[in-house]
Amino acid sequence: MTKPDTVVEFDRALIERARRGDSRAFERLYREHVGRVHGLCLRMTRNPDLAADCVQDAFIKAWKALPRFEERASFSTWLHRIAVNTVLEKRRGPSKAEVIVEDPTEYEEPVLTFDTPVEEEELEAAIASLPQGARDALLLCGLYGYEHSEAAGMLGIAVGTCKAQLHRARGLLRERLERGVR
Amino acid sequence: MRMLKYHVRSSLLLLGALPLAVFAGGGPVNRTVPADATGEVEISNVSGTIDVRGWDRNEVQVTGQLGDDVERLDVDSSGGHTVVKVILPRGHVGDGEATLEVKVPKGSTVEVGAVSADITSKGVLGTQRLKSVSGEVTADVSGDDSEVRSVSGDVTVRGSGKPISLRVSSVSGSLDLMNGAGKLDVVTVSGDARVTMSETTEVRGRTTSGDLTVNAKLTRDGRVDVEGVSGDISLRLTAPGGLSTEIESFSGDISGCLAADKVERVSKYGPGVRLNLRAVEAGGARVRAKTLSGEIEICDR
Amino acid sequence: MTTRQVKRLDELAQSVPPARDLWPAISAAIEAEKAANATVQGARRPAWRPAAALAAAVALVTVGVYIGRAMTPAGGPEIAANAQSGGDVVRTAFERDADYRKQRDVLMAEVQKRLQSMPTAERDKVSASLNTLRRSITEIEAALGRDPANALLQELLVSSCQEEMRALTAVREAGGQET
Repeated sequence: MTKPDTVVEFDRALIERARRGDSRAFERLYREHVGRVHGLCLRMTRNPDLAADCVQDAFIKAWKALPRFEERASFSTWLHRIAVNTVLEKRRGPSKAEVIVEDPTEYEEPVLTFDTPVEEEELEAAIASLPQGARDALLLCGLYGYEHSEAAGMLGIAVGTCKAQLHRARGLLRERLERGVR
Repeated sequence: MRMLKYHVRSSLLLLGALPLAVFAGGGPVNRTVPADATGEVEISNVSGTIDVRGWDRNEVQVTGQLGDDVERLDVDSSGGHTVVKVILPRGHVGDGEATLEVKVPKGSTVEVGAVSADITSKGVLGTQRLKSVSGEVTADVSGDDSEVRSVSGDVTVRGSGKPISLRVSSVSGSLDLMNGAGKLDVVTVSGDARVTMSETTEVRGRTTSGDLTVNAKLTRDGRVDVEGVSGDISLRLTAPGGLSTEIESFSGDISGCLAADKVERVSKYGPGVRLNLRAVEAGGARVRAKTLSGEIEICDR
Repeated sequence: MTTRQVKRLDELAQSVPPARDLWPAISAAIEAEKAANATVQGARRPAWRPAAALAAAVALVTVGVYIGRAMTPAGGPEIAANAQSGGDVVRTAFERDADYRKQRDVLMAEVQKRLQSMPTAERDKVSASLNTLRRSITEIEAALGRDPANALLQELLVSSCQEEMRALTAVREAGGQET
């Protein structure tokens, strides 16, 4: 998930200008990153209105937090971190009380592949039907390519839990895709 | 290459292949469909009553009576999701009443939408989202992340004493919550709201002209954050570490056993009174209450 | 309709653009914060209150979030003429946004329609509540007009506007269960 250097430099220049109060520079950052932020929010919330709220909240928070953004970090990851936080806040519940048995050694898994191609729509529906914790882990690790430790940090859970949730997600996803005959 | 096998278990095939169950209006209804123990059940009715009961069977059973004006009742179940929907004719004017009793697996997530139908719910352990426009809603709620809302109907919720996250709101109806615990978000405009909770981590409350009464046992570091305009706010709160308060009213009074002689004016020349207390111990609960003209009463016993 | 087929989870598109442009609301919130930071000096901020509160700047950020969702305060033009500072900054944030004005008009029209379709007793009850909200907003604005730097009033104004949005939306969405 590494961007070409020119893109990173471009981001950096915009961030610098935005930090000094240039909202047009921030708008360009918004235009560049909104798709990925919204893609994550939409799949986590499964609700377009709520996702739009989360995206707006996240960018507004990002604007206010710009002074604290460390230049060496990835702006995209930073935005995702804020977005995930926003979604979790809006969920308004204590973290789900499910007890996940953690055995970190078991769950080093490759990218999720399907022997038979799956329709995009069907896959999205299956992802949307997963329980929250499993879905969150699958989206961050399986789709957006974050390392377990990074995803766990964003979600506020232990790395072992994240791996266990991901494992669970993969199992449930396969099961639901198998069942999903129209 | 191993093909992804599509194991179509016979019971699931049955679920997927179930035709939409349609009942024409004007008569009794009695229908049972298989359902997941922790699946979703969505019920909607316009007028009449919806009575939801949790039970031990992995089935959704709908019984009751459809009024003559009802076009039909749809009952559809697939993929762990059951929909029970009363359909009225397009452009319909009139009552179109349906009296429904819906039994659902007690671990279900239940969503109910009604216009003027009254909603009651008992024995459902999963998340509930109950909404009515003018009907009354009376529910036993123990599932996390539940919501109970009405526009003009009265709302009565009985918790289980188990901490959950709950949102309750009405525009002009009254709100009553008993035996709640955990986190609560309560909003009313002109109806009165009365809340009793044990083991409370957070209460957020908002009223415009209705009175808001909160009786709660707060946990360590518990928080209460309430705001009103002209409605009165009455807080009876206990907390193991004591209470820190940030209470202010623009033109109302602050009273109660905690207030005693500690209320001070915000400014020598302008309106406004406040009560800012610091808890004696670390880990005290925090209380914030603000009104424009409503009275604020606070006591810690 | 068949959609694209994928063989790996990470072949799904990471980027999903929102259905509408969210920038106007974000921009309004950013501009409002910049304006309010310049106007409001020394607003009190209690230590642990979450961001959506006290100083008009912070409160306006939250208000700005609602602009894009078509949850709008009913009375842009009706805001009391005497409101200064706090009230004006709120109004400025709204009126800058053409999208917001359009969405507000649509919301109000829908709410009126919804009210008309309710039985009389219920319509009266709900209208009375909405009027209570509107009056409370006017009352707070009048007080703000006399005491523009009052942080409590600013906060109550913004949260009352939010409450009005919430109530209007609840009324608009009510009755969506029919057919």
